[in-house]
Amino acid sequence: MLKIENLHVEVDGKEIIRGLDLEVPKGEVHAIMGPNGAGKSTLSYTLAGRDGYTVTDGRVTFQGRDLLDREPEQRAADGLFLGFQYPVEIPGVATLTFLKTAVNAVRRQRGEEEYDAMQFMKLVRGKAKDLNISDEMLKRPVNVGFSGGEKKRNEILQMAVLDPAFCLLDETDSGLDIDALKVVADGVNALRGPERGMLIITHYQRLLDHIVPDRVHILAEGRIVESGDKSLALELEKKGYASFGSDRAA
Amino acid sequence: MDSTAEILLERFSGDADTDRTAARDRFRDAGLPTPKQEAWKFTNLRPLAQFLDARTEPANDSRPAIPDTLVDGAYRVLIIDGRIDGDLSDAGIDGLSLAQGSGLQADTDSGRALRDLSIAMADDGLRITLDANATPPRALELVFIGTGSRSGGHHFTLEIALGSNSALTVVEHHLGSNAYAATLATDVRLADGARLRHVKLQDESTEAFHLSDCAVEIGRDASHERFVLSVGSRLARDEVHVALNGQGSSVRLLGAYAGRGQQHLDHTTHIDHAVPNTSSHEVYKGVLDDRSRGVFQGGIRVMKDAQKTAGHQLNKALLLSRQAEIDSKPALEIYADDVVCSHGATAGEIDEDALFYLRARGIDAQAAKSLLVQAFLDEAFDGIADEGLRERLKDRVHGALQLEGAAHG
Amino acid sequence: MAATAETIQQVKELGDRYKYGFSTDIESDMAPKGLSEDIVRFISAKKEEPEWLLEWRLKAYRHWLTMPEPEWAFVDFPQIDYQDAYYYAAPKTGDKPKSLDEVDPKLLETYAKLGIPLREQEVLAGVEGAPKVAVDAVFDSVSVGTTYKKQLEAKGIIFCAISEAIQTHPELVRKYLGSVVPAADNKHSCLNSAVFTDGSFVYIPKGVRCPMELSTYFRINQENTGQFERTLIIADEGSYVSYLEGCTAPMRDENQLHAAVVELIALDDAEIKYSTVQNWYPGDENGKGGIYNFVTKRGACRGRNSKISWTQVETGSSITWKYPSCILQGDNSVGEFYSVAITNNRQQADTGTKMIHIGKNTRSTIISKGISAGRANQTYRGLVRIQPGAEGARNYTQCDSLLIGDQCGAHTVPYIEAKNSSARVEHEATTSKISDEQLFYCRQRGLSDEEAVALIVNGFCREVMRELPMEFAVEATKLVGISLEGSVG
Repeated sequence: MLKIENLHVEVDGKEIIRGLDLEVPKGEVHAIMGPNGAGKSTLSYTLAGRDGYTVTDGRVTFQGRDLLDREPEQRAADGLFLGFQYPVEIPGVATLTFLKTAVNAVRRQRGEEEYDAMQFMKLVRGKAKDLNISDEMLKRPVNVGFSGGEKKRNEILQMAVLDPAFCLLDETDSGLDIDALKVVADGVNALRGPERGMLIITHYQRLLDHIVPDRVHILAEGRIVESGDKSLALELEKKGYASFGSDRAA
Repeated sequence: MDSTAEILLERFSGDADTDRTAARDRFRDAGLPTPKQEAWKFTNLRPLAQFLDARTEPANDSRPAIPDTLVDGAYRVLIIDGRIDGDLSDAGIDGLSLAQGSGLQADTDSGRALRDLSIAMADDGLRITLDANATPPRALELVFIGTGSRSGGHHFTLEIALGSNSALTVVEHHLGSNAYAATLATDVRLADGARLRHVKLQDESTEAFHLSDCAVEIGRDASHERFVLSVGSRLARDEVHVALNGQGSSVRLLGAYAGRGQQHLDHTTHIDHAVPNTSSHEVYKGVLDDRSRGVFQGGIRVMKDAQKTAGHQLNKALLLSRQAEIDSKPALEIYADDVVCSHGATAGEIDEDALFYLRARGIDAQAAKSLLVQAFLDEAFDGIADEGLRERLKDRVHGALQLEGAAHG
Repeated sequence: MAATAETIQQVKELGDRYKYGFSTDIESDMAPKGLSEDIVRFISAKKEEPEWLLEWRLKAYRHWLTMPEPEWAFVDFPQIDYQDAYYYAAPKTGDKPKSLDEVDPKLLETYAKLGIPLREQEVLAGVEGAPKVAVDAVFDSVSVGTTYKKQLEAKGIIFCAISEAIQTHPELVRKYLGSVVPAADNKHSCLNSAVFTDGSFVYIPKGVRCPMELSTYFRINQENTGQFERTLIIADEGSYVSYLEGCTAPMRDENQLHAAVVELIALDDAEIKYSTVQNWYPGDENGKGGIYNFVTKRGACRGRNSKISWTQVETGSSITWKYPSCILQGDNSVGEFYSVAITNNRQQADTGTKMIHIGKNTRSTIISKGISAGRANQTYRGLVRIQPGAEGARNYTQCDSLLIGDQCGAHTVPYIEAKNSSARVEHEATTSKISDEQLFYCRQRGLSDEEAVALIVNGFCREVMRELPMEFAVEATKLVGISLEGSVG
């Protein structure tokens, strides 16, 4: 579903991703773990198409099609969802308005009928309830004044409503206490399915207690240095990043 | 040409200095500014004219007392009634050189009549140059004393040129007695990487006029910190024009003013961000008592292509009496888009809740008020690195406002 | 449908950027070109005005001749040739229509095309469930019809063309006309006083809460015609009125002058809410054509506890020069100014407000949101003055500017004059661009650049937009997207 081959990425003229290979088939959940500075966020921003992340070599295909020449909103419409490590505040724009605009923008790009107000509300209400998101929170401007947990739940809500083919979650666990972590993990697990792929980027093993991955990869200095099943995460927790070829151990 | 300009210029018939001639011509055309001009909307110079008239009889003729230095161990130059007093024997130490005379040019089309006036009428001038990479350990202190014994006011020009990667602290101390008009035009040029700290205490006689115009050009990665404290004068205007001409350059303008009686204290600043990656930060705090009036005009202009500019400006005024007045005009003029600029201005009296809170803790009303006024002013003083100097200046403003807890009058 | 979604759709649907750019082919009754005492007399005679008003106009005209053009604003345009314009143009309708049924169908069609209902029971801008709105439609120099007059008359409310009020309520007009904006206030108001042709008149009697929104819709149609409307609104003790004003003009290559004067008077405990969506033709992307919108709007809070609130969304005109102001005379009176101004392409706007605090415990709030794109320049210019007698006065001002693209400018010029220590004045201003983070976040959720900008800008303007009556808010939200079209990418 998502195939990354020999990817090299530069930011401000500095190479951060240095020959990364990775394949996530549909129906599978993969985790990427790595220390600070390994290139985790660079990878997620590159896949989502952010300006300033220059691909100097390699290719990425998504659902059999070249991903890298697509605009960010086209990638979103193709079904690639990025859950941000630091969700952005948009003052004055109600969360609900934002969600509806996004859903209909994606549907329009896909040539689907847009939701009317009734259909949309029905869709959102159900999913918001599962994530413990109140109507009051939906009326507040996007992420403005949200706690860390609220921001992350809002990301998962958007993910659920946009119904993407592939979920890329960048440090979704950062800044969450254990209760919030569980709510978020439940939300993610609810979206697991045979047609959907997921790539979970995290620094710590604890998220993987709640979202159990099919494969675990270790990212260090811009490339995958080790891959294995979920036990690799536990091994990493025990031994630390140092034993996996990184000199910047956490 | 108005009559004032005519009278003033009589003093210069026969002067062959071309720069002065140019300044004079420009001043003759412009005359003294009037409140009809936008830049002088809040400050009226009409009462100044008679003090500029050379025919007015002098009021006093005695040798003034010389104050202690504000910074311990500073080099010192005395300027009495607009003339350098004594020789400049300190020159040449630590890469610093001092020369008598004025080299200020009236070549910009600035429309700044006061600057032209100072240059045209300068009695004397001082040029300060610092070699590249020099960092004299001692500050340079310029003491300007007005005695009211020279008719026609006194006028001075100052040039400060810092070589690349050099650093200097310059302190100006303006004081005096009796009535007089003092004007000062200053040019500051900072080469790449140079750093200038400039501290000015304007403590002129409360019968005097103090009018100063300072133009600052800042090169690449150079920085300028300026602090002005205005407590003296009957009418004062401290005008600063900064041009951030080199990438990576920065300026910090800090000011505090304390007005009493019928004082009129005007602070006018203009900052041009001419190239990308420059920053400016400006904080002025004023306390106005009795029938005094404060004026703050602050302009930030970001030129086209001056991307990545940060410009912040704040003027806060505390009015201690019903008759006091503050006029603020903090303007932003922005022609580049990748900028973060802001300004803020407030005016009001002492926070009644805070006052009550202190009194409820047993502090009497006068002491509580003093405490709050001091706290209000402190922010502007925080930028003064030299602790001794900072405390002396704080003491001066506390004394001026007759705040309790001030160590010296 | 959510307003933002609708914006985006609207932007998509629009092939043409300025959808009101059509002109109506209608025969007009015009004064000869140029300006002179004779033209002033001509206009006054056409309106069958009383002698005092003619004298007032002539005095204004003579004074106007002596006044210099105001030059302090940050706007730049060639000198106006006042002789090269028509000062009176009225659609030829034979006798004055007695009811809406008699109005020329071409005119009704024009307003229908603009989305302005001149038939009662209809609502503005096609918003279902919106409250009733009474409309006075001004076409070039004359009012062509006012709706709901009967219903309003039953409550003692007078809502009619000012030319009609001069005939039917001369005592009210004479008492208040020019009492807030004196003829000689500035060059443009002075010209208006000499040649104003029509506009709306509103009087709300004591204790009456106007049961519906009152609205005037201004349309410039004729070529080379200036529009000089005059609006006078008086809210008597304890009354309330919400008034809406909209404006459009055809796309023409030459600049047209619009110099209006609006005067508001609020007596004890009265409240006037005045909302404007200004969408005059802005000129093309090269700055050709467009309206010069030189408007003097001022309200006097004469009574205790009175309130005047200005809300404006300014997206049109090639040049806007406008400072809706409040004179807070009555103790405890309140002035508000909420403004969104968008300039794109070569548009220029110098706009803001004046809050003059005279009475005790007077309060004012200023929220200004400026968006500059393309090669446009925009200035917020404001004055807050606390007079010595304004014990306990309060002002809060917030001016935010957003820049889109590196060819535009945004400027802030506030004047703050505090002459009373018990007053508290706070002013904050910021200038920045739309953050790359916000744009990317929106695009990651599927929005295009333009959709993202429209959404973020509408969020930026929200504090102002929510002050607009609902039917206007929808229109204004759409306008934000349309006005910024072509400003990104």
